[in-house]
Amino acid sequence: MIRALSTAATGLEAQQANIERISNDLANVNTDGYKRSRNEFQDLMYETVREAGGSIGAGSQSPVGVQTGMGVKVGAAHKIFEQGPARMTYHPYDLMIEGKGFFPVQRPNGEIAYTRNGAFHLDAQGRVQTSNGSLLIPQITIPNNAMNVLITAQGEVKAVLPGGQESVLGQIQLIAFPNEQGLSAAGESLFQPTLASGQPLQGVPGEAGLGAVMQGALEGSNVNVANSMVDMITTQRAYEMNTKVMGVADQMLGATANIK
Amino acid sequence: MASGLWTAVSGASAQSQHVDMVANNLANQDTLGYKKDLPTFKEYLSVLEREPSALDVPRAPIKDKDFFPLDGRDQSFVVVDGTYTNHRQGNLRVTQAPLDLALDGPGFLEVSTPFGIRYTRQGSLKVAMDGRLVTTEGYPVLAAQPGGLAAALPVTAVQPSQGGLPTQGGVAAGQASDLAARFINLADVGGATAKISISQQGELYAGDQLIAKLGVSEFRDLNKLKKYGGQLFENRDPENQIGDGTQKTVVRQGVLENSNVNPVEEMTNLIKANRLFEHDLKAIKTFNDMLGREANDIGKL
Repeated sequence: MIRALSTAATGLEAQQANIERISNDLANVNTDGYKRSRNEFQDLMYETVREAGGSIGAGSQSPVGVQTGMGVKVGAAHKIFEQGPARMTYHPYDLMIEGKGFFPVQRPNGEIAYTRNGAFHLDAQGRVQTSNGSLLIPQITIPNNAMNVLITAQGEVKAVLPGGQESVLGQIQLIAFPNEQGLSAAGESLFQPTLASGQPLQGVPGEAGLGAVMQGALEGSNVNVANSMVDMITTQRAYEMNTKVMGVADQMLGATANIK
Repeated sequence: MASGLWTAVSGASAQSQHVDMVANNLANQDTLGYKKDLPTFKEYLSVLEREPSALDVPRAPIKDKDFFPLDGRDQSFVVVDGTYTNHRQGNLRVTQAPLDLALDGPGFLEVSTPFGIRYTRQGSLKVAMDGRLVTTEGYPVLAAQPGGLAAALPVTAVQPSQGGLPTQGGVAAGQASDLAARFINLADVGGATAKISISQQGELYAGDQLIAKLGVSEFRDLNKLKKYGGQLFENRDPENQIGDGTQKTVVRQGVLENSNVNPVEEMTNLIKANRLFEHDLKAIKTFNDMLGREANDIGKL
């Protein structure tokens, strides 16, 4: 009975983690390059009161045992790297990855991070960087006399200079990970590698399973509002039911205390 | 007199165990691949107090209790006899993710844990840092045959744990080496960047290259499986496993199997267990009143 109380408490904790996850997804429904997350629950250990297959004498075994579970925990919470919808912006430095891959960027503190939010801007020196000042790797500098900037699907950056000649400014590289779900989200649409994600694999867009780059478009958030709302309803009800179990356990304790 | 008291106590404690199980089922109503438990109760006889005997009618006076042979069997206790795990299929949820699997049918995926092979229906698979196909907890998923069906791919030697996160990657420490040959390795086809498709028979392809066939086990008696936590089941009886060839489980890609807990049923069980518990307490209370009267009121004028 005391166990039912704590079991219900684990349920409340798990459902609360779920509602926090849903609220973060819904808050980021308009965040470019945002990836929705998923919580995976796992049942906790079991107390085996009686072993299944234990001997009950005369050479026969008990066909079933008695096992009581201890509740639930959040086993994993990870991002789902499903492609988000394309949003056409026609801005020359807005890039979208169609398929797998991340843009490598160097954060102002020198750390390397990876993003799928391709809303790039120029700084005073013409260097391509994200809106929070992380420079694209390899560094690409747009000359200030460039009339037009073209970025091909393979990630080649070209500028049209006065006089009409084209000059190749650089090549955008994309990064893939053996296990992208192992990346740790660093906020600001950035992801950082962990031991679980494996080593970054560099490549040219459109080759070796990497996605192609599309200029003038942004990848919207892949949060599905309808699914999130359904999740919210079921989570809320699941939470309620666990509180009901708590109420019952409490009633039972109260009744026991009042026997005398 | 008061032995009936203990009968009521056994009932109350059995019902409170029932509430524990309902609590666990309700806590796991969103756990992928969770199978609900339900208890069964058993009447548990106390000792025979008196053998039923033939009435010795002409020689002894007949007492009233000769007509109601109370031989102890009127006071049977109740105990939780077993917990059955209901292995009915849970609801399927479409996710469209390539490494989400649901098993349609009675089968289980085989996974290798440091304690031996365990079985699970939680099909949210991941690719670990070294390219192995693992469960959410990081246990490698096993192929039906060593080296996979393709057998051309080199099977990487067992690596000791590299101190990765405990949930994903770096989990090979302490794995049995014969099982290591059955790990599914996606490193040579580009890990998660490979386009993975899984056929209904469980054959795993990267592009159009056959990598391995997933090990799917079926059992003769599902009740013999022991729950292990983390949606893993343990099989103690090798005879219980159905050999190759007769499996009828279909693997569905891009779908996950949810918990098979039915909240309506569980809430009903909760109400029932709660009220039965109260009835037992009422009986205990009645015994209390009776004993109190015996002690205090008899003999009073």
